[in-house]
Amino acid sequence: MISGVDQPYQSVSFLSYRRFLYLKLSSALVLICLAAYLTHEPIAGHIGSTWLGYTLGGVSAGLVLFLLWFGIQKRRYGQGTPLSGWLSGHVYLGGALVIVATLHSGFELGPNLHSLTWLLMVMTVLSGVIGVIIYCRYPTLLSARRRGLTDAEILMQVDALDRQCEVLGATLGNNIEDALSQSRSEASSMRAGRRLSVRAKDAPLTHAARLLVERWCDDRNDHERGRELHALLVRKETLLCDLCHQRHLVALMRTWLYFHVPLSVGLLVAMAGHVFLVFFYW
Amino acid sequence: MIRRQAIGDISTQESSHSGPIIRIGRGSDCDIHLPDAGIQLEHATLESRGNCTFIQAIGHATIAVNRKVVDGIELQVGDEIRLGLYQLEVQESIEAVDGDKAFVLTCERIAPDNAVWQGKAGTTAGAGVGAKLSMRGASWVLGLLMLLMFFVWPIAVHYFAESRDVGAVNTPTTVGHQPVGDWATWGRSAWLTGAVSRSHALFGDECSSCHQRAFIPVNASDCLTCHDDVQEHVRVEQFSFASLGATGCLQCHQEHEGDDQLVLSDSRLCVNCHQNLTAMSEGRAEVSDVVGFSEHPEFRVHRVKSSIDTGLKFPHNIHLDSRGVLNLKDESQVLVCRDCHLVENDGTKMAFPKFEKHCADCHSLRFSFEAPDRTMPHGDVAKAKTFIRDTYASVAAKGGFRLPIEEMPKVLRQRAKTLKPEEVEIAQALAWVDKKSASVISGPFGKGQCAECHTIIENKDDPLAWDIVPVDPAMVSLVGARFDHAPHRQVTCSACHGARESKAASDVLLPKIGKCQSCHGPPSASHLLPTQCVDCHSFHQGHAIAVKTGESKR
Amino acid sequence: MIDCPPDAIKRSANGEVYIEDSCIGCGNCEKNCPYNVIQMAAPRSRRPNFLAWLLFGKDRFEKVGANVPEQAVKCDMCIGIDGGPACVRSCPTGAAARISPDRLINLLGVQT
Repeated sequence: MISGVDQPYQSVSFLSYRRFLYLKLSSALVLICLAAYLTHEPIAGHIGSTWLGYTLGGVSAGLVLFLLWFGIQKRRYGQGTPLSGWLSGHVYLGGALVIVATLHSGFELGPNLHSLTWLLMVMTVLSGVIGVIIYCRYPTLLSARRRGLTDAEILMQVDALDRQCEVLGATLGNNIEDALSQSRSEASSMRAGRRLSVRAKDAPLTHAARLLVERWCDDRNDHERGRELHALLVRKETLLCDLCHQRHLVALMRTWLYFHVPLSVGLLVAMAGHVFLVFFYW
Repeated sequence: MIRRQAIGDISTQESSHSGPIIRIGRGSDCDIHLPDAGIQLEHATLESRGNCTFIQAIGHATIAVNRKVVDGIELQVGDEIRLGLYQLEVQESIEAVDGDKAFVLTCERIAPDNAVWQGKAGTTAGAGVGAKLSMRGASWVLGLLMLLMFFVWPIAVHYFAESRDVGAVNTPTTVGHQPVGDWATWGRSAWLTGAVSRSHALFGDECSSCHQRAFIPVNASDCLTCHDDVQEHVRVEQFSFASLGATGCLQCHQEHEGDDQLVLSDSRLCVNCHQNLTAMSEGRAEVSDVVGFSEHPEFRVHRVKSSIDTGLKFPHNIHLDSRGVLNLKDESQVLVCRDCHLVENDGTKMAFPKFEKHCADCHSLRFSFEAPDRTMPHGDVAKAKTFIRDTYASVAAKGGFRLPIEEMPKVLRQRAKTLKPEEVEIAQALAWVDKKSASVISGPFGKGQCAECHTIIENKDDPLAWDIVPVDPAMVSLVGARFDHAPHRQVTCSACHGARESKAASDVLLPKIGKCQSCHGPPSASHLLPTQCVDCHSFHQGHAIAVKTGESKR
Repeated sequence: MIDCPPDAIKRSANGEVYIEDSCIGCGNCEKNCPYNVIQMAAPRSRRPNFLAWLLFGKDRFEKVGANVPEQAVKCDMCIGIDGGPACVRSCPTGAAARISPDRLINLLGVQT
């Protein structure tokens, strides 16, 4: 099934999936719950244990389970709704959950398990919002920097440049050979992924090697091999900086998930405890 | 030249090319076609110069012969030429058919670095953050921590923590109040939805004081452990409504919601039953249906009777006349309500006026010219009669008052004939006392004075044996509800009670409910005092409502 | 195709190049592919236990034994599966899509 054969291709973001279907559904759900909350005046005030509270709690629990199911659905490569549709539902219903669960609490919060459940839910959704912003913004930034090459291709080009530099540098003296070998070690450590990519954004050793060669060339006016080596090092430095920057963006793109998933598991346990407790001390 | 391309272990391709120049490059028009992105379209040429074969890089293309980057070089057997990912090896030199020299080149594609190629390192999957931390590990840690602290611990506290005997709080032998075990504190506070109210703070730190069994809601029996003297709302043997059953306490008493929610005062709690009580009780209820204070039925006193028989004759209008009344000192005094009606100690009721305190300043009970200082004692008819008689006895004892023998009753006359002269005087005196006191007692200064305010019960057989109807003050006309005068002390008495116009004590001066409704309204009213049912009525009242119309059903 | 002894690698009418199960693992296609998209891999069966992976991180595929013969594999646009390429269906942001080359050129023309 090739899309775009019959009609012009239009990119569909997970936010606008099916013309914002899930945004409309979530908004309808929130409005219904809000209307019920505002029109119903329970005798004892808005607390979780009125029939309205139990209903909102049931809806919230259902939402939480649906949101958690996304983690499983993500790994089922089956037929039916594409994953971007599931993510659309996940994102919008997650936003609805904050409102519905807060209405369920009646805004009554204190230092206990019930409020901890609410807090974990809010933190999970907040980290999810950060994730949505990251997923909307960062991929374009990444593509802009990538110049159409994959990581592997960059590293292969760097590898090829290394070999050429090795050949050229062998004739130019010990200092330059040392600098070049340090630059090679930098490239291989990047290849092995050992450098923490969240912070580092440049390739200092290669930069130093390039400067050394430049100075060497200036001292010796018009050295052809030197200039060639310099050109190679310029290219290598550019590639390595690009790679570093990409890794940095990618690391940022993954960091938020390290909060989102454990918090959601904590939320699941807390919610189970909260429901258990409600019926234990009924 | 023969080009031999070795591909893997299984198949090879051979091709042969001849000519003065053999082009090597990525372009498909080249003689030796090497499809690699790192190779230029036209990368190098092989040409023969004399007896040698030269390889020459085209333009800025990079070729390395025997690991040295060269621009052009003569080829020998055994040379390795590297262009991009391809390695060409000069294998042998053979004699061609036409005598020219020919080379055999093997051309092999160098497999790229496996690790790089499969993307295990250096791609997004291996990016630094992912390699060190694990979402699964963090999830397990957080999940287990929460399980331990919020599941296991509180449940263990419920089943294993030592507990105090709740009933012992009430016994006099309990000295002080000991806190329960320390390890249990977290387990309890973790599951606490809200602070326990102040009244229950003595034992509220221990959940099982009220939540005695797991998964079973707190019900009335848990509350009645201490509150065993609470009174029913209605006699349950007559009316058994489900909502007054076991869970009934919790409908109106909410714990864990603060001190002011311990007794809920929302009228809906009452109106839910009382709006339809006649139907629910199959007509046996003694109260009318109510939906709210603005539609509250009239007070029973006004509905059942229009007057109350107190036994008194008392015109308020005369006493409250703006011109005043004369007291015994002949001074004019304008009376106000407060002069006779005072609130009792607890502020809810008015004390009934006392004759001695409130009436005696104006109404003297003098009855005798002969003893003008003496006044009849008030309150006891027999005592008054005796007093009158004793008064005249003391007057007679002072001397000078005798009944002439001719006026004495016949029986006494007979007896007097047998007495000595001084005894006859005494007899005459006593006879005068009898006659005088009898005439006074049944005369205008005796019975007549009493009759001014009281209703007399005549005795047909004995004119002296009249009695007074006991005064029933009808103190509490509002039965089944509390009224507290203290919050109303800013309101003048006459704003609610029509005493100035009342001519008789039988008037019901309790205001009609319309008066109350002019200030008090339902909770939603904006210009009236929001009033709930429990502001006047008590739920735990113990007995059916009694109608106070002069007789009590208690 | 040329150089494939059992003629396992073919191109379909829609343009996908796919490798049939008759591949003997000679490696010719891998070495000659100008786009480097063919790899040699030993077939592994999937362990059915999803929960073991979810809770304990156990591998979802069985380990490859020694001396298991490899076959050539490449992306064939999920040619045998209804619903189109699985990568498109499992892209959460909807970024992945399969479009034909002429449409791609039009798209690039619009974007640049």
